[in-house]
Formats: sequence, C-alpha cells, structure tokens
Amino acid sequence: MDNIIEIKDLSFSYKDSDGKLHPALHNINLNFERGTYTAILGHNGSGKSTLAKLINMVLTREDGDIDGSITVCGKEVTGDISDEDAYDIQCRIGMVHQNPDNQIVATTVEEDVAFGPENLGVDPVEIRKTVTEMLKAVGMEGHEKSAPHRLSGGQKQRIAVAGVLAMRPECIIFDESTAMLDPQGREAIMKTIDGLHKRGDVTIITITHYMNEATDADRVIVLNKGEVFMDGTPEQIFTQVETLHSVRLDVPQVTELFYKLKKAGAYDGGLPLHTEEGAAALKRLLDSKKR
Amino acid sequence: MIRDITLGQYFPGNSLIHRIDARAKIIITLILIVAVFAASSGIAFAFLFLLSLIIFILSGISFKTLIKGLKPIVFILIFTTIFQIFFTRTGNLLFEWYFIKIYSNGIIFAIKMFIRIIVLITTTSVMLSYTTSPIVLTDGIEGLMLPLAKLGVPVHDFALVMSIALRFIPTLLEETEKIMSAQKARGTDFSTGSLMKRARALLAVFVPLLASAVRHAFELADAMICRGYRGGKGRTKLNKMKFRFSDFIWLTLAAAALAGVFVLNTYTFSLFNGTFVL
Repeated sequence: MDNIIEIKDLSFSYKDSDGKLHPALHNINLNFERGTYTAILGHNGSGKSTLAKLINMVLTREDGDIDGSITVCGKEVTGDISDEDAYDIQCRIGMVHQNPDNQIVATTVEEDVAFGPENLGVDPVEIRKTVTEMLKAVGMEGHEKSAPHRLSGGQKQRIAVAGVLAMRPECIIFDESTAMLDPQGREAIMKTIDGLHKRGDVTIITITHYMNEATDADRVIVLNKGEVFMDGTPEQIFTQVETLHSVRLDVPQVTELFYKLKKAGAYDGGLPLHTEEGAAALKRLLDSKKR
Repeated sequence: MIRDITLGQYFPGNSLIHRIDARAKIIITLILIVAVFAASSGIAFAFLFLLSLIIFILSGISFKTLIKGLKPIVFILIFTTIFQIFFTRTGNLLFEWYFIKIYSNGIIFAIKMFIRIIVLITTTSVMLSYTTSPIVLTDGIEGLMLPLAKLGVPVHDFALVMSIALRFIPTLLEETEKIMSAQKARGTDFSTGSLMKRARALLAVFVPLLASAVRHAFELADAMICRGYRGGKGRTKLNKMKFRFSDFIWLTLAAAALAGVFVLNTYTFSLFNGTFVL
C-alpha cells in the first residue's frame, strides 16, 4: 500500500501570544492512500482545518506544540525539514481555501492559473498548454481573458482549483472550499472534484461540514473535539445516524428521511445516501403500499 | 453596480497605438512630455498639436471619450489662459480700459499654454490610460525598471504589489458597498449632518474595511505560498512582453518629433506687421 500521507500519534496545541496552549488535535493516527478520495467531517472546532494546515505546513512548530509526526511523500514535515524540502512538499500538496477571492492573485483568469507554474519557472510555452488544459478540466475554457471580479463565486473557486491543478500536485486538499458558495457553485465544485477523482492521478482530501458532499468519497473520517471519532466508507458512517447525531452532526437529508421512516416502522432496508437512490427506494415503497 | 467599474480608463482595442509595447509607450510618452515643455515657437506648437491629433486618430478612441477626459481640467485651462492674457506685460499694447491692459504676448502665451495643456493631457491619456490595460502598464514599468534590480531595488516586488492592488480594487469596493449597507441597516447616516458628523459615520466603514483587508492579505499570502511563490527569483512569465521592430520605429519617430521641435523652435515669424511674433 502506497501512502501519500502518514499521520502517527499526532497531537497539536495552538500557542497564543501569552504562551498559553489551546489543544486542537489529540492522538491522531491516519494514513491516506495515493489516488483515493477522503472526506473529513467535523464541527467547527473539531480540528479538521488544523489537520490540513499541518499537512501543508501552513502551521509549523512556531505556531504551537506538535507531538507525533506527519509524513508526506516520504518526508517528515513535522520535524526538522530543510527549506528546499518544505518547498517541494508544498508544491506537491495543493490546497484550495474557503474564500475564492483570497486565492486569486492576478487580474486575468489565465495569468492567475499560470501563477503557480510561473513560480516554478516552467517554460512559457508549457505554461500556456497547462493553462488551457486546466481551465478545460474545471469547465472554464473560454474565460482566459476574463477579469476574476466579474465571475461568480463558483466560477472564481473553479479558477482557484485550476490554479492549484496547474502546479500538478499529487494531492489536493479542499479546505471548506464550498462553504462560501451558492448551491450552483457548490455543485460545480463537487462535479469538478468528482472529475478529478475519476482521472485517478491525484489524491483528494475534502474538509467540509456539508454531509451531502461526503457521500461520493471513498472514505469518510469524522473528527470530534480533535480526535478521530469515526473512520470508514460513506455507507458505514452515514448509516450510524444516532452516533452522528450524538456529536451534533447530520446525515444527508435523504438518509435522515429513511432513518425516520425506518424508526416509524414504514421501511426496512438499507439507508440510501444519494438522492437518486432514495427516490427509487421511495417509489418502490409507495408502489408496494398501493398493492 | 460596483462590479462593473473599469480599472483605470482602459478601452480595449486593437489599434496601432494599442499594439505598441507598454515599455515603448512609456518612453514615447516621456519623450513627448519633454517635447511639449521644450516647444517655444508657434510653429513648434502647431506641429505638436498636429502630432497629438494624429495619435488620437490612430488610437480609435472616440472624441466624446477624449472630451470627457479633459473635463476635470477645464477649470485649470480657463484659469491659466485668463491669467496669461491679463497679467502678461510684454509685447505691444493692444487694448486698454482703466486698469485692464492686454498685450500681444499675453494672447500668444495664452494660446501656447492652452495648446501645451491640451497636448499634454491628450498624449498621456491616449498613450497610457486609454490604450494600455493597467496590468500591461505594470508589466511595462517593471520591464523598464529591471536594470535597477541589479542595484538591489526590489523591482519584482513593487510590480507584484501594484498588480495585487489593482486586483483587489474591485473586491474591496464590493466589500465597502456591503459594509455601508450593513451599517445603514444599523442606523448609520452617511448623507446628512455636518461634515464632521459624516466623517465620523465613515469611520464605521473604514475600520471594518481595514480589518477585512488585513484578513484578505494574510489569506492571500497563505494561498501564494501554497502555490509555490518565493519571490521573483527563477520565475517565468506566461505572457512575455515582446519588443517588436515596429516598437523601434515608434520610438524613433518620437525621438524625431523631439528633434523636430528643437529645429522648429528656431523659426519664428510675425503677423500683422510685427504686432504678433510667433
């Protein structure tokens, strides 16, 4: 098994300006296999963003106390790491943040997508090819010369994704990338993520608190109060409705519906995760009642 | 809507002037500014006026746009012209009424000053703001300052700061609008009361705006690091500026125009039996 990220006995506490410690993560053990799609769920303050920032070295020993280790692409990023290695890791692990406005650097779409490869010193001819390819991958071809501020939130976020893809990372972390978008924008991003996963050459980690966005993942990890609370396939996780409710997390709407039907004694089958699945099950249920 | 504002006053197009390399444009503009201030004889002024007319026509910018651009300086234009007419005390006395005396040189200076200002504004705005996008202009400035980088001047950083500032103008404007709405909803009154009161009301906009700008800056810095930014060293550019042969021709023409002004300055002629010496 080829793990792109290995997290061992990781604990982390933020240090504030008075030197006081605020624990954020406690004894995390996780491995992320290359090419997989993992969704990390959790409430505000569950430590999910902290985890992402540690993986990408946005948070380092300067920001708090780190115990245990994170190994990315075979290099331990939580220990002493040379600037050159750190830079290398940061280029290999892409990150899409929450606010699309704060990720777009340039004044035209094409220049923004080109920003990463420009930093890497890639040949302009090659950059041009990459820009075209990546804009196509996120469905934004034809917007090369557009000004970012004239695009919608979802379009801006797709440009940000294209900008990260242009670095040709081995892993992309989406840190609540859909939180500020409207439903259409959210759907467009989810479609983009799905498309990337199907291509299969990149490891995907999404951090979210929208349950619907986790159902397409290969694996779901639930964090609660800085600890791994659940870890399994979406089917394994979301069918445990009561356990999720106990940590104030929801299940997808359709799952919730069937859970309630089941509790009321009107349904006895597996709980569906996807709306289409649910619709079909509901139709079968209604048809059987008719007879 | 505030989203629709244009950055600067750039009018996209593909005219001869649009296509000149930004670095060449900046140099040409500087040469023409020197020429405008060097001109002294009437014929040199006529030549410069004609030249700016040609540049304007070649740019394909509408006359309406040009007039709109000149509007803010109408006051200065009228003031300097009147000042020259009434306060110049050299040349032949043409008109006298109580204390008002108008001399021939006053008329000449007024006309020259008028042309000087018109030509100055027309060439700089047509050459730079109307036909060059702010991004390209930033690149042009960076390109011209590049030799200074060898002396340790952080040219690339300046250019990046400028282009990020340009990039965030619409974002911050949008945010200002949002904050103003939010504060209005809380009862802040921006439009009535004394100047002092209104200034204080605006404070309720600036403080949150500043806080949000700082947050933008931190998050943008994180995003830039995540995308492999580590300064200008080793960076390549997607759209490299090309200095074409035609740009050399334009530069040569500008230099020739400057030389032309110096030559034309030596020719003067008189009108109305020496009443006016141009």
